[in-house]
Parts: sequence; C-alpha cells; structure tokens
Amino acid sequence: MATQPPGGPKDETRAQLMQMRNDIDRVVATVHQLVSAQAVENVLMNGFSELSAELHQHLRPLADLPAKLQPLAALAPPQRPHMLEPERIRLQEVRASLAREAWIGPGTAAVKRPPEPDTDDVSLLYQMD
Amino acid sequence: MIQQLLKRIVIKDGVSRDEAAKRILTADPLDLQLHMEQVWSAATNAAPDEARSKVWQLGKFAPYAVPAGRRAWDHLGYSYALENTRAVQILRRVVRGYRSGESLGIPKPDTQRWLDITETLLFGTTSPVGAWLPASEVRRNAEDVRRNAYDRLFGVQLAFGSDDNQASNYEKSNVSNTHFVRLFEELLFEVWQAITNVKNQSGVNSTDDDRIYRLAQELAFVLRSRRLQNTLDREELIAATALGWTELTFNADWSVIEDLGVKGTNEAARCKALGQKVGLPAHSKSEALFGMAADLSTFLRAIEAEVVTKGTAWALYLEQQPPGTLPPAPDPIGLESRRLITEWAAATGKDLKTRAKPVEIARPQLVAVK
Repeated sequence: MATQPPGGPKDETRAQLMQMRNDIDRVVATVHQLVSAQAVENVLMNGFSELSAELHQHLRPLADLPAKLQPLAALAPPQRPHMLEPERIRLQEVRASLAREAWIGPGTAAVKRPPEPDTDDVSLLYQMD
Repeated sequence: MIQQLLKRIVIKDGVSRDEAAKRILTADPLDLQLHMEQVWSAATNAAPDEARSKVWQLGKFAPYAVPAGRRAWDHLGYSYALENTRAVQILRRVVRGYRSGESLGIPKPDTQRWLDITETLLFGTTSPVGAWLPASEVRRNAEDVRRNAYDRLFGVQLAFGSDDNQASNYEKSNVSNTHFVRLFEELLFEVWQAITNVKNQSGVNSTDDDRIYRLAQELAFVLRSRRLQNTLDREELIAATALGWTELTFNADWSVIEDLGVKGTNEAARCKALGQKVGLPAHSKSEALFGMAADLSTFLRAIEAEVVTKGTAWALYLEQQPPGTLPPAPDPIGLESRRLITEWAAATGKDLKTRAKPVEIARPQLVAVK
C-alpha cells in the first residue's frame, strides 16, 4: 500500500483545517466577549433607569415648590432687566467715540496719587444764580 | 479729540502709545487742524463734494478716520475740569516767555514744534478754515468763548479770573443751566447709594433706581436743551482739542517739559511745577481735576445719549452687564461713576456720600433766562 509522502496534499489540507479551526475559535471567543459586554451595559442601563425612576418618585412632592415659595419672592435679590438694543447701541457708541489709551508716559509714576484728603478749597464751582 | 486720535494711531499702526504721542506732538499744526476738520465732517456727515471734505484729505492724519456720524471728541465737561487747573493760562505764559525773549531758555526743535501747535490750537493765531477760528472780531478771546460755553451748559464759571487776576468779562448768555450742578450732585449721591448696595443681598437697600432714572432724564433734558440744532457742538470740539492738547502736554516728560526744567510724576504735579516756574499757581486740586476729566466726559456723554432708561439705571453704577446678557455688550459706566464721585468730592469739597437736601425737580426752574 502506497503511503503519502510527508508534505503531500493531505498534510496541507490538515494544516488548513487547523488554521480554520483556530480562526473560528477566536471569532467565537470575541462573540462571547461582546455578548458579555452587552449584558453588563444592559445591567447598568437598567440600573440607572430604575434609579432615575425612583428619584423622580421621591422628588415628585417638590414639583410645586416654586409656587409654594412665591410669597417669598420679594426677599430675593433684585433682578436687573437687560438693556434693550437701542440703549445698548447708544452705550456702545459712547464707549467707541471716547475710547482713549490709559497710558502712563515717560516720567510718570506707575501708580497715580490718590486725591488729597483735605476738602478746604470749595472755590471751584460758582453758581450763576 | 487728541486722546482719541492717539488711540486710533495705536490701533491702526500697531505702534506704542509713546510713539503715537510723539507723532502728534511733532506734527505740523496744519495737519492737526485738518484732522479736527475731518472729525467734524464725520460727526456732521458733511457732503463729500464740499470743499472742507476735500481739504482734510490732504492731512497727515487723514488715514485715521472716524466713522460717519460719530462725535469722537470729549464732552465739554472734560474741558471744564481741565481748564479749572489753570493749565491753559500757564501754557499761555510759557508761549509768551519763549516767543518774546529768552527768559525760559532756548527751545529745542521739538519744543519749537510744540510751541507752533500750542499757539495754533490754544491761542488761535491762524486756521486754514475760517469757520475753525476759535475766536474772531466778535469773539476776541478763545478762553472767553469757552467760559461762555461753560456758563451756558453747566451754569458755572471757572475758579479764577483772567491771566492777570482780573475778573473775566466774557460775554454772558441770556440763558444758562443754573441748576445743573445741584441736579448733577444729587444724581452722583444716588449713584453712590446704588454702588454701595450692588452686592447687598439681604440688608436694607437704599438704591433707588427710579430716582436715578428721573434725575438722569432731567439732566439729559437740561443738557440737550442747550444743544438744539447742534448748538455749542463746534465750541465743544474746539475746547476738547485745546484741552486735549494741554493734557497731552502734561502726560509725560516730553521735550517741552524737559526744556523748562520742571519735574513731576503725574500731570498735576507737572502743571503745578510749571505754574510755579512762570509765576501762576495751578489749582490746588489739580490732581482731582486731571483725575476726573475723562470720567466726567464719559458720564455726561452717557447721560446725554440717554443710555439710562426706565429699568436700566444700573448702567450708571454697575461695572459689568447683569448676568445673562448676551455678548457683545459694552461695559456699563460704574467704574467711571465711582471715580468721578471720588474726584468731584475732592475737587469741590462737597461730601457726595451723605444725603443733601433733595433737589426739587421741576423743569421750568432748570433754565434761568436773564
């Protein structure tokens, strides 16, 4: 009976089969890992959903809190209304037209002296009554 | 106008502030006059085919243009504060000393150029545009023209007389905003109350936004009633240019300051030292007057522009826009107001932080007709 010499077609087929089996094993392992991750994610998602629902359940009594605090609104700090567009443009124009360099020229002290504290000289202004 | 031109040079050419100042200080007087004409043309939307619109384009400072419709010069209050230091009269003596002899020494070329500009802008020897002469056969003295404008707009005089200590005999107007100062100081008092309560969240709050609004409204009415049909605008620009030049002169140890051999670490100190040298003492509160000039200008311009409306009185006492404001939004003028209150109190000796008798706001009393 004639035997197949080593390295013949049968050995090659066997080697290919082994290779395919290894590949299939890796794919199966990867699929298993993915399925596990999905399961963890599901658990987390479900956990958060439950927590959120529970929290909402607990906070439901506070839903009408703003209405209950309405009588105390007068004690709150004043809300300053925003400037309307025309006033904002006028202020911008004032700023732009008077813009100047806040510079300190050569020989000028870096910090300006504060105004003199004594107030004896009241002769600056004269009314024309 | 001078300080605003300096800013435009810094922005457009990217040079330092000192370099920009030197360009102005060593400019030809004609170039500065032409730029003043350019600023006026922009503010008044002069027609491009008018001769003046063509003339100003010849000037060295023509590239530093002002957008159309913008009044790019300081309020008359700026000129009033600076003129009260007596700086203009002191510079008059400097010019006289240099031009009439050698009592002040021999001026270097830069100082000679400064003399040319000072004589042109402050004492009005010549002008390429007749309408720009700060004085004329009818209005002989530029200082008297300014005194007349201060009287009309603010109802006040300068704290001193003429150069030789005589009473000034400027032309009196038949109308004058005699109640301006009382309204103004009442507004400053209310603004101070608001400033002290900006961060007050729980205690008694004496801020009265409605009163600030009403006072600001009255002040705007008073000021604008003297500016109908742009009256006094031309005088205001001429005064702002003259006093802007004066401020720039004292801003640093320029050539003229060095030539005169005076020392000082700020504008007021230099002004006082120079006053002593030429025998004309500056105002004892010159520090406060120099310190408030620019802030007073911003404050009064904002009032006149009616930035304050019902509900936005905070524009006068906050330093930033309220939370939630969408950018871009200009800063309110709280910083300027605070500085102004301090310096005005120092200059006038009036304590603006305590309650004075409230002003009775009644429009018929605001303008005195003589």
